Amino acid sequence: MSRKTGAVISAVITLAIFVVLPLYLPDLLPPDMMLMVSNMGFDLEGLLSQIATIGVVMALITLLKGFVERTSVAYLILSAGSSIVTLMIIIQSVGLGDMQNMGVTTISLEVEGGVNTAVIDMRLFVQLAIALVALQILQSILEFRDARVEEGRRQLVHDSTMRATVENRAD
Amino acid sequence: MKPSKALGAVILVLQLASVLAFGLAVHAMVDVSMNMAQSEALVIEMEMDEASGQAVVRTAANPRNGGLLGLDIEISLGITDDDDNFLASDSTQLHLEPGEEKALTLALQLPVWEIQERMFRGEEVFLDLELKFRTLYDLVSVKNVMKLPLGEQR
Repeated sequence: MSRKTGAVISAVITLAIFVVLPLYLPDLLPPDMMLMVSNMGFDLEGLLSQIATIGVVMALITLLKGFVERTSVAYLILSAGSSIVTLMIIIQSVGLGDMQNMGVTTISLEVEGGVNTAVIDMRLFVQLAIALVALQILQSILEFRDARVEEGRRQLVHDSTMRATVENRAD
Repeated sequence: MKPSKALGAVILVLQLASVLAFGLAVHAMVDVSMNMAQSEALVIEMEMDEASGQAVVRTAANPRNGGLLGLDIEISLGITDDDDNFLASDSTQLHLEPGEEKALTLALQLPVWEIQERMFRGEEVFLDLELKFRTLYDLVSVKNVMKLPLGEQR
């Protein structure tokens, strides 16, 4: 399978998981559950449409990566972009739709004259995701450097072979 | 092995560990909180001794940890005024190992005269019930605070 075919398949899978599934999830969930979520003051549909929007960007990056050379700077930028987009999806999901809270989500609900407030602290996973994305970007840089070295070596072998052939013909 | 390949392996291990930790932490906290919300695992009652004029709010819970991670539960009761200043408060906590069930009780003596005086002045007084679940060495937590007005404002 060529890189281009692989990229098209990966982009379609990314679209299915991060765009189609989030957009159709509200229809698949029981209405009671949707009502409960809405009563909690949590905008599930808003979160899912945000994920779908980021998913479109992610699918596009996945597709483009298959059509550029591994040794090009564009490939390095797309790899880093892909990691950053993944981080955005994680922060968005862990923060239940609010990226600015960085993993600390507060949900308030009025009950029988009083107020019920839930504070969910998931900062650990946001911090882990940031560390992992930093490592992924470092890995992309190392792979880019390896690909460049490999390309240079291949070019050198090619040039030497050509030179040897020309010399043999001259003899 | 190339450094990029080695780094790729480290990233994969860290990703798997993060997903596993997230799943286990959420499972433990959801299990205990659902367990306390569904059954009569959490009881709050108020007792008033007419003769002495003393009032006590008692909270009793019987949480069970059905998750795979140990979990700390902290329960706090407090009486607060309009500005969230505490007139009285008390708290207790316990640690639950996976599969463990323990009893948790807390009694808070209410400053009845102070509450009545404030209510007479038209100020609002609230009963605050705070439930906190912590796991993964306290790095992940869920806090639930219920604020209920005591009596009616004049």
